[in-house]
Amino acid sequence: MSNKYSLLFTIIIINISNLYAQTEIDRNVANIQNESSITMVKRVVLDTLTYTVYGMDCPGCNSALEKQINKLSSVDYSVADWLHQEVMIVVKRDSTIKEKELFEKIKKANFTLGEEIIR
Amino acid sequence: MTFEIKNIRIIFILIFFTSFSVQAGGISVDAGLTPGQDRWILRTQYQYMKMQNSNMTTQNHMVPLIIAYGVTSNFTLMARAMYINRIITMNDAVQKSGFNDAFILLKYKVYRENTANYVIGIAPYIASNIPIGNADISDRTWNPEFGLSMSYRPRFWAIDFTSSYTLKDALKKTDDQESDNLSLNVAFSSIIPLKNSNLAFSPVLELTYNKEFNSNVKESKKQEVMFFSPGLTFIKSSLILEALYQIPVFQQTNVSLMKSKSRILIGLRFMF
Repeated sequence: MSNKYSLLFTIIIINISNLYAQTEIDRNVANIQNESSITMVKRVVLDTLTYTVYGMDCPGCNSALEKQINKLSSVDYSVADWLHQEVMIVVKRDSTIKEKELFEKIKKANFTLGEEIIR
Repeated sequence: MTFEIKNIRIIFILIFFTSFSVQAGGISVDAGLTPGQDRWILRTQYQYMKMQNSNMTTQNHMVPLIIAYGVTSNFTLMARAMYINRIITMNDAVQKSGFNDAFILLKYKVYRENTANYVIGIAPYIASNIPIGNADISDRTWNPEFGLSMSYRPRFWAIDFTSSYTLKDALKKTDDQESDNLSLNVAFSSIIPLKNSNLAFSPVLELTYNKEFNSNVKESKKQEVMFFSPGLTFIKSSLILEALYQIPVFQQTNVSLMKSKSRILIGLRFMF
């Protein structure tokens, strides 16, 4: 009888150990993914442009501007900020944005392109 | 009774212009700004209005559904359908429900100036009902409308102004001619950002003035009404929640005509 309990106890311990080990693996995977994300962000920052945009007057304007800019084939995505009157544009790898095209797209959103912001 | 119900219809058409402005600003007052090209705006509301005279009360529960689209950055097309539940109480209560006439509006931006400190926009529009509504609700006449909207928005403030003139029964289908309508509306609002650039709320104050205006119509059928309307909008990215309370502060009507009581408007706007 005591052997049975010993066996059961051993099985439980092994399972808890496995569970702990799996959690450790998950943590490691998550860490690796985080590191990849950091690397990705570093790469993206290199391909980012920021411009002043005039004419945005509420949070609804953010998506209106982003919708037009994201139509440019060289744009990966953009993030508009009506509060600071600017838009950050993430350019696709090995692509360039022609300022004239950007001007036209921003005009289609009924806004006006300002200067490039160098940070 | 028929005469009085017609007058109810007049007031109903006059007051509820539903703006489709993509930006914050006025709630029932449209802006002199047009949405960008390829921009969609979906809007719905619940509106409650009550009117009364010495022997009759009318209550309207209304749900307009509005869709607007930026065909180009200058030119916007808007269509509206509105479901109405109307309860008329005299000696007994009579209930009428159904869709009112469809409504279409074409708006064209003639001027817009964007600067770091302000935005100015001017946009005239033409609009008309399409008399296909439920026979209990619609009088099946064409009522074209001509308007001009202007906006001045110095950063965190907004002033929107819309004036319009509605020709009643343009094709002179009915013998009993109704007055045309002149409408002047102004909205003041301030936008207050919350936490980040995707959240804001905006207190709004609107003044709405309507005058029935036609020298061919008897004085006894003309009315004048002015509303003072505090409201509030809450904006989260592409979603706007709005509420407006319209208080009649001035009314000049014939004794037999209906007087407006306070009105409530609660709405939702989604833009993409």
